[in-house]
Amino acid sequence: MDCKEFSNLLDAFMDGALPDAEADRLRAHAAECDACAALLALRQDCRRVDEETEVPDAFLSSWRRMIQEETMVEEKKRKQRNWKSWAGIAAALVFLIGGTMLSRGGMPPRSAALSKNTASGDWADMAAGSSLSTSYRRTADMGSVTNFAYDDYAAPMEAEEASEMEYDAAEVENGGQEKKIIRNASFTIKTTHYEEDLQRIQDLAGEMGGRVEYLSSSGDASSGQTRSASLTLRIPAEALDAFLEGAEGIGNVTAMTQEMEDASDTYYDIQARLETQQEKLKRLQAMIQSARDVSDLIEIESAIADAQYYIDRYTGQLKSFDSRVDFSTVRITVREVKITEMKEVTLGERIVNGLKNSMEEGRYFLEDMVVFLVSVLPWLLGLAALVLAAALIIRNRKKKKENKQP
Amino acid sequence: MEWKPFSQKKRKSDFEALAAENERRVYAVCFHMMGNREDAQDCAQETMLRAFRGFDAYRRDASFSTWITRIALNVCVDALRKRRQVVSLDELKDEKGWDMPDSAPGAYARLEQKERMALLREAMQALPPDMRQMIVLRDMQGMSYDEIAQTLALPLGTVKSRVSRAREKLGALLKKSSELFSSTSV
Repeated sequence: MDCKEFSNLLDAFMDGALPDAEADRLRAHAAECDACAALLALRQDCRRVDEETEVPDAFLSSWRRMIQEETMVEEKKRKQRNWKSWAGIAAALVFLIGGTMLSRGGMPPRSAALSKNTASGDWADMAAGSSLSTSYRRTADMGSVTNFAYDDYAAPMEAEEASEMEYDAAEVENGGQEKKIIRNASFTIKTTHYEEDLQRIQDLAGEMGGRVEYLSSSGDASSGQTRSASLTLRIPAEALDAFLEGAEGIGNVTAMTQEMEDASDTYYDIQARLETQQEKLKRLQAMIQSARDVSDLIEIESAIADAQYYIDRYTGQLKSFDSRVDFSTVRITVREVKITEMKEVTLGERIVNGLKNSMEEGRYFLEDMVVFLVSVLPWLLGLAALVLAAALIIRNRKKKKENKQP
Repeated sequence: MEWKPFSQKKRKSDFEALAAENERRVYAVCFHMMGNREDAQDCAQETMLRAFRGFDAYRRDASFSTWITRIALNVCVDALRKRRQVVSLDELKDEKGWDMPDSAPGAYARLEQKERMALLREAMQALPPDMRQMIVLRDMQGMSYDEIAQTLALPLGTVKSRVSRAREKLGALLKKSSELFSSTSV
């Protein structure tokens, strides 16, 4: 073996990978060659240095203690990071929820009143205790003055009170002549049973011997509109009070007005004029027999025509007065109403309604939150870009400072 | 210890088990690199700390031993740079007037073992860190060239050439110092 071969085999010899025969040859060469012997000694010393290196007990315990301390530090940092994370999440939630609330303009009403249209409704007869109020205005003016109305705030009209205002249109005497009193009335009915009450009014008019002179109705129940109707009824004067009394039981009668007009003077004045014209006609008809010539005849005929004209006119006026005296005109407005009433609900219903409302409100709130987020997104992105840029600048400065340090 | 996948919850116990199997090697590498017990202990502790902190990022494609040895070498090289006590051969030549005559071979082998060990430690401290670590890994720790290549993330050929150069340097240092020791002891 030469020195070159020795050098090539030395690594394998030190690793124990050389066959025994080769190892013997290598040792034999080292025994003869001082340089190779030094090389072998150096390699062996290197291994020995490592084998003789004693690991101090202080190191064996200290690194374990250090790891334990490091674990505690990391745990503490983790808790701080968690706390910061939770604080960040809380801040984000406050921002999100607060922003959504402010952008919604406040919460919707906590409860909605129950509302029913009587056309399709199934409850709330307008009995006593409903929220609707009824009122009548009273202006008292008795005697020959024609207009008055009565007020039943306190109570429906008492019989004796009503009798003070009641007129017997047929039999009140005034200087031997029959009084000609014209009575009219008007009132409004508010009802939750529109169709039913409208029919009841008409039926009542018929029962009293009256008739419907005019009827107009408006509103579309199918589209939720409230309906109203205007009626003009002709009620026999002697049955007017009974009719008005009967009408009070239909719906809620409001704003009733009665008018009374004493047309006696005018009536009899016209009657007198009629009689005059009738007398005049008789005389003119008698004068025809004694007419001397054609011109007289023509003149008489002309006068007869004039008289006839006035007779017809006065007769018509008297008939109109008679009609108005015999039949009172009653104008009625029927209005359909919707009642807003807070219906009492049971605890179970309240719980169910509360759950439904909260689910619905939650859905609306989430929708509003999405809208809010999208609307502020450009601002958030801008802010994030600024924060990122600042963080990069700070980090670069720190790196430069660290690199400069020795 | 058989390698087992670690979980975050068992991170500390898993690390301690693996580190315990390599604590001697870590200390020995640090001792050979730094040359004294105090610096060796500091570097070994720093190695353990760095390894623990980086344990989550440790990948299983390299053995734990290789991985922690690399950390130990990096710690020692960093410490040596800070210490600035690396003495190059040129510096030795300038400072102490040593030359490298091609003097009588075998002087090293004729010294007593105790004397040789002392000279060897001194000569090791005179090597630059990059050469020193080659001697530590190959000749002292007995790692194979493949293991060294994996530890230092170097090509195999580079490892072999660096080991060869390091040996030459070390031999030259020892040859001269052996003669000086022999002459003084005589």
